[in-house]
Amino acid sequence: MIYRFLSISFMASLALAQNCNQVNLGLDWSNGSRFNGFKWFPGSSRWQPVTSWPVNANNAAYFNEFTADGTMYNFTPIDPSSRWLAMEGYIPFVELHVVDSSQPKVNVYCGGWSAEPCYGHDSAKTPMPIPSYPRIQAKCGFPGTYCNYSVGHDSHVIVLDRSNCVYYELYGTVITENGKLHAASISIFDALGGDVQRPFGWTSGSQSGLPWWSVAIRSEEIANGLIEHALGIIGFGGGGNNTPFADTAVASHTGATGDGSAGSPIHYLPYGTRIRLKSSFNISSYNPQSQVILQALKTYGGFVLDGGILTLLYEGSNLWDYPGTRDLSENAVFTLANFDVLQSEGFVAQGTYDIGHPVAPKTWPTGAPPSFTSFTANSSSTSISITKGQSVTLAWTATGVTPAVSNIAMVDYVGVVRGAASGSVVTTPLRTTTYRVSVMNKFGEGVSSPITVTVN
Amino acid sequence: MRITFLLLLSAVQVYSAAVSSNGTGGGSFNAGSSWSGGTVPGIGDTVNIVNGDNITVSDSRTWGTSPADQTTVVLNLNATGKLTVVNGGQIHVRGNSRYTSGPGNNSVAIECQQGSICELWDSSAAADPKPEYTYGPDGGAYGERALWLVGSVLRSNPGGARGRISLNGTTYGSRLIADRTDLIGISQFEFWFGGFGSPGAEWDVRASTFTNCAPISGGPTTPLNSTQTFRHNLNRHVGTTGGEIMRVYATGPGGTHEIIGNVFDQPLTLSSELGGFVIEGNYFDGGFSFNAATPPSTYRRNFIRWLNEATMRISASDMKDTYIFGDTKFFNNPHTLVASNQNGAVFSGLVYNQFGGIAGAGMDNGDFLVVENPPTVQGYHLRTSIFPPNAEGRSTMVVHTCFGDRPNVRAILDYNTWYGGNPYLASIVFVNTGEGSATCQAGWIASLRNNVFWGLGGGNGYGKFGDIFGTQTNICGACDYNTSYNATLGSNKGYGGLHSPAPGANDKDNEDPGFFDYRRTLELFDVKYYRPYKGLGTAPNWVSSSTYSTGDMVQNSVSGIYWGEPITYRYLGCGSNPEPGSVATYDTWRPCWEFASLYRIREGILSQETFSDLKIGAYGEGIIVTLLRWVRAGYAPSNHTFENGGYDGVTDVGAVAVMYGGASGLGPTPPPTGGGVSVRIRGKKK
Repeated sequence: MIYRFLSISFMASLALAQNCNQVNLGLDWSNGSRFNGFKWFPGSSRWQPVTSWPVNANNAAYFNEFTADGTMYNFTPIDPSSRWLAMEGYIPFVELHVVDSSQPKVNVYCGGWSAEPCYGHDSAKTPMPIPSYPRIQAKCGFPGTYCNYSVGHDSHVIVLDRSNCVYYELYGTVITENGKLHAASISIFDALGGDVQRPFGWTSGSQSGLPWWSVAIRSEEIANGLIEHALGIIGFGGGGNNTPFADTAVASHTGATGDGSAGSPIHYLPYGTRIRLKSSFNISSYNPQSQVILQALKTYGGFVLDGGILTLLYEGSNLWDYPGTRDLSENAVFTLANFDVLQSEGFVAQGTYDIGHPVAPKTWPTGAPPSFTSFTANSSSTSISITKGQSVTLAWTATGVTPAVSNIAMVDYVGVVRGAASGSVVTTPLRTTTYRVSVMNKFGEGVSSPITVTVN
Repeated sequence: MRITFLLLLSAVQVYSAAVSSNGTGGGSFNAGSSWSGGTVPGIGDTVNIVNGDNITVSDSRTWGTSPADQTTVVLNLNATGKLTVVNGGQIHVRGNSRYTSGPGNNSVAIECQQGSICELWDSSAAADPKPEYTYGPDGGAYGERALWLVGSVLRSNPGGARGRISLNGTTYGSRLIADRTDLIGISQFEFWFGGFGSPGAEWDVRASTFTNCAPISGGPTTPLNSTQTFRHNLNRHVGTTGGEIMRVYATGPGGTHEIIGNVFDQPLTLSSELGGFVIEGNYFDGGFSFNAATPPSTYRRNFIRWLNEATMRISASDMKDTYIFGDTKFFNNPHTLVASNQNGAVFSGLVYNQFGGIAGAGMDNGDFLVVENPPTVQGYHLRTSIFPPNAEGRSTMVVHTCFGDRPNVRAILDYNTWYGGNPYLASIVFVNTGEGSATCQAGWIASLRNNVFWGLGGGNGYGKFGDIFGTQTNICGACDYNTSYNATLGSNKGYGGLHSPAPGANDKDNEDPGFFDYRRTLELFDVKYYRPYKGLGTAPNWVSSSTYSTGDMVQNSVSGIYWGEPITYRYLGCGSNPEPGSVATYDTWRPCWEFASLYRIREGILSQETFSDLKIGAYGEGIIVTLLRWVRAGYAPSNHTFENGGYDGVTDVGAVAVMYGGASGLGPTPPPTGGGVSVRIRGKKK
């Protein structure tokens, strides 16, 4: 079992070399090199080549599992060359909004689709800098056309706050008439962090708990002829009922099905599993633009991060115009047998595995969530009064923030603030407000005692 | 040769020579071999183009007498005969043009290609009506295609009287296909859908300009069907005569029926059956009238400039995301928007503001939604709409209901935001039981929930609702306001006290919504948003001693007008230079200056300008939606007591959900490097 927890200090040192502010604002991909070299989740293994990583000892068994029903599942990326397909937001296309600290924050209310009401226990409850009418995956067409805010596919909304380097991800998003955002799952990630981002058992926009965007293939990468990160792989079995169930240190959540019980599907890989295209696979016959993707699968491999149709994850962009990548879908000549499962992140969920089948109920490692040693308003640990227009400084210190998932805190009516072990923020309440702050570690979320600021 | 052609020849010989094409395919107009007698038609001749011939005009050709004879047919196109005017070619037809043939033909009569000019009348003619271009005589049964215009100029009045273009094939229908074409000075412009049972009959006009043309009128005897097209998109109308742009009757569902992205300069009238019509992204000038039993299937994202006290009628349901701007000094008993013929019509996402102030007692602000005909109509919804203040900081729009003899109509008014304050009349919602013969019932308002009434006025002005003429004291009885939640800034729960019941016990009163920026209206759009977004800087200050040219822009501040904030104005070339801005002098300066924002909206529509600004929730949005989103973002409350403050405890109160963040957080985002996303498909023809 391999754990790859990264220390806060390691993340911080990487952060010094990175600047979220170098990412261009907006949702306009016409600028080409939009990230300007920024590598988010800089401490994560997604940036590490896996060419020398060992093959999982059960590699052959995994693929026996996949072919047990006599089917060899083709690996068939959806053609990303169709810009219309991309802009219509079909899975697996996702779009990224980049905002800064001037972006007003909105509440996102847990409860999206009727079929996916709310993953409340692991959904954030703090204002977020999400545009009031964000582009929702599969609900908006080409720019300038009408967005249908009531129906859609996975309905992701993906936002990077470049000022704070915090990444937000919604799933099952619905917008009400007056612009109120609802979502079935609301996730916050520390974009300066590493692989481990979510407490055990918490999901995100993806079932695995992994963030979508940083493993998506971007059009500018195709244009530049180089992808330098692991890719995102959706599904591994050819259908929504064949979602993986076991988990790795990278992932934090299981699939909804395939729990190993009698009659459950057997085609799966654990979420977070890294797979790699065999080095012997000849990619020379593919179009050069397709070779960029295939070479990335050889060098960096891909994470299994969600269930569904087996494919790769792409940015939703109006710039997909690379017919050369079409042969990935039109000439589906490679299969799972062309990949190796790597001995990468290690299983976390407890239980006895029979090549992926848990034969005992899964349990997560347990431990204490963070706790607060202080939470004050203008240095007072009890309620205070101010006059309207005055500001108040909220400050906290917490213990037990390790094993860490992020270096962020969530403050009621304020939003996300950097600093899990300690931090502060200045705010100006318009009316009497009761504040709390919460931080996370790998075992869950700790919430401070409330403190009321009376506004006279 | 057909009998009809012979008859026509005999008729026109009285006035002039008739020169027919060669009957072997035609050819160049100026080649003798193209004509049956070997002679190129001259000015006084009648040109006959016979079946199967295509005469091509590549230079300037004139025929017909000058000054024109109003009865002579000087251009006669037969059956499949065709006149093609190519790039650089011009035809000047000084007399009637007529397409004559038997039924069932399928041909283009005149095709004016890119770079050509087709002039169908004579500049020396003096009075209307003048000879016409007629495609298919009334009552006849004729072919399909009349005019096919691409990147050309079709004009009938280069300085003098206007001609008539009549597309009236009543059995087989008519076609007008125009793309990037100037249509100039057409005094009568008729088309008839009566023949739309014929395959392919259509009106398809795109990216063209109508200048000094008469209204387009048409009337079918049968509805459009699923094979037929009415598409009027991305066109500009300038100097339209006759008080309206277009009058379309009795179209029906099926086919392609679009009115999208046009800039009109007169009201639009659509009647009877509008099912299947998509009406989106237009600039309506002077309002509109939709008097239809079947409303458009899509009516949204339009900008309406309302000019006078005439009724703006709509019988459409589901009118969404529309900006209504009252460009007036004041209204006197206006009925801005009248919903009729519909049960349960829904108006949502509207922003209504009116420049003009209130001249004094008795001068209403705008009314909204007086539901009138028929008397059996019951109920409408007004939702998620915003009513910013007028130039004097007063409310501009009330809901005026239960008017006259329509006592059964009940209103559902939820999730709206009103800027209150009007010393003369109840500023927000009132029920009129005393005017007309109405006997309004208790509980007349069916629902009054989750609204923000930001009442700052005095007198009657801060009323949430009241009965202004009658004595009904329980107008909201059935809506049970005590279980609904509304929020008001004011000391007496915002009630005007005119026969209103006790305030709702659960209302959130005396709460400042903490709007991000409520000073957002159409008038301020240019200076506060458009210019910063585009990086244009501000316009120079208005100077009384300066001489301005049409199109010049200035900035001016007037005390008491929109809190003294500067507003950008655009000069209209009136010949004088009155100071723009004051309500009191509106009638003087308004003919000389317009709000620059209006110009931005018009040009933005036609150029399909797009904006990407996540702070207001716009990504690749057109200018109308951007205006709406900008205003909406300004009306987002930051007072978190509104959060989940709705009657159900889940929804936020008001037209916009609660937002948090600094007050400066909703300024415009500068455009991305490289100019951002801007799609321009409306070609320039010259």
